[in-house]
Amino acid sequence: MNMLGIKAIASYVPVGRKSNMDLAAEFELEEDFLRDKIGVIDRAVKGADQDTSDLAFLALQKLMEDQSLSPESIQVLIVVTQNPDRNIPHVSALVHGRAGLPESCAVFDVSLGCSGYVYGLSILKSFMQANGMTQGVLITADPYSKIIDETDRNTVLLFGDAATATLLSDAPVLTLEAFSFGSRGKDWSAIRTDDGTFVMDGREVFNFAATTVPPDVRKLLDVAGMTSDQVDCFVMHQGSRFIVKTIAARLKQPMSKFPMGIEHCGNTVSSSIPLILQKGLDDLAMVNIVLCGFGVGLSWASCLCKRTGGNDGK
Amino acid sequence: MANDQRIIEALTEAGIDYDTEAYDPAKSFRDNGIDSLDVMGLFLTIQEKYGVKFSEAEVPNIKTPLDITIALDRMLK
Repeated sequence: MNMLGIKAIASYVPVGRKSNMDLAAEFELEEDFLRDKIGVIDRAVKGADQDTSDLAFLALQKLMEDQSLSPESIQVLIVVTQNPDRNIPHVSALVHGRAGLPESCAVFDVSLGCSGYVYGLSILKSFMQANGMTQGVLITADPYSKIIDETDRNTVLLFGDAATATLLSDAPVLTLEAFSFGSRGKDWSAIRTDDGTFVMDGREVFNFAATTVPPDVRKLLDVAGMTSDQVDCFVMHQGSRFIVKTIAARLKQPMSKFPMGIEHCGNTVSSSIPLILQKGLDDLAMVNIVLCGFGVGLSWASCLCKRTGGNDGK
Repeated sequence: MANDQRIIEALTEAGIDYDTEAYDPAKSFRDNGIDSLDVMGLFLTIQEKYGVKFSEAEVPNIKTPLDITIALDRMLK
């Protein structure tokens, strides 16, 4: 079997927006702070009539249209979410039914937050390898507008809604070369829900990201026999511009290698990495790419991707 | 009041773009041009450099660079 990897990424970002500028006066914040530190000007917010499976389905539908995928060709579908439509059933079952996927298609959900995309890539790749599959889809859909307290200045300025769908196949554009994973369950309370409302200890999360991500990325690159200087692009989870900038400084790499993608959608949890990766998928200058997700759990995961070709069939 | 060089060094190491001309450790972080996220970076830099940990209980009461000096002196005793 050929090497499995990322073939294509599609996304659905709701058209609805909430402006952080409207909250600036209430929270006594300067525009420069919102733009340069938080990094978010507008947050994407799903419609009141939309639920998690709607976002997930729309991302999948876009992927199927873009790639001319028939429902029958999808052998496995995973949805990463911690905000399902309901506790039972799993969101992937709802998407499976609505998309008309075949009964032979395996579907299941993965409960992870901001590290979920990188974990999901490894899970999907392993599942496909173990079962002789050649085409599978990883969906991320975790609309935090369902759980955000609009009066909590620690969280309301950060999060946005979106969904992504990533096609893994045996004709990849990016191969998944190496992974690194970690968990710090003792500090779970730093990011949690209390009675269904999202709560985050910003300082704890910042300290976690600043002290955990750079060593994990170095560990990943050590295993691959590479250095940070050899990496063309670091796609970090978009916790905030400040967090990404801090990680870049600690890796001693320029911010130009750390694309940002939250200014007009917000931190979209497990969708933040694929939303950025989608834009760079056809950039042939991006050969060695590091992905790193970190957050809820506390949990983190890093992945080294390598370009095998463009999307033009070469 | 003499500036605590430990704090000045930490501000530089954390890459914080504060108001160096008008810096006054007795004034609030905000009045020194240090925003709330920069304060997080400053705390972390000091914690790593001096092997200390600011407790969750005391952090809300640290409102000036001078407060950091006092807390650091106490932790290093």
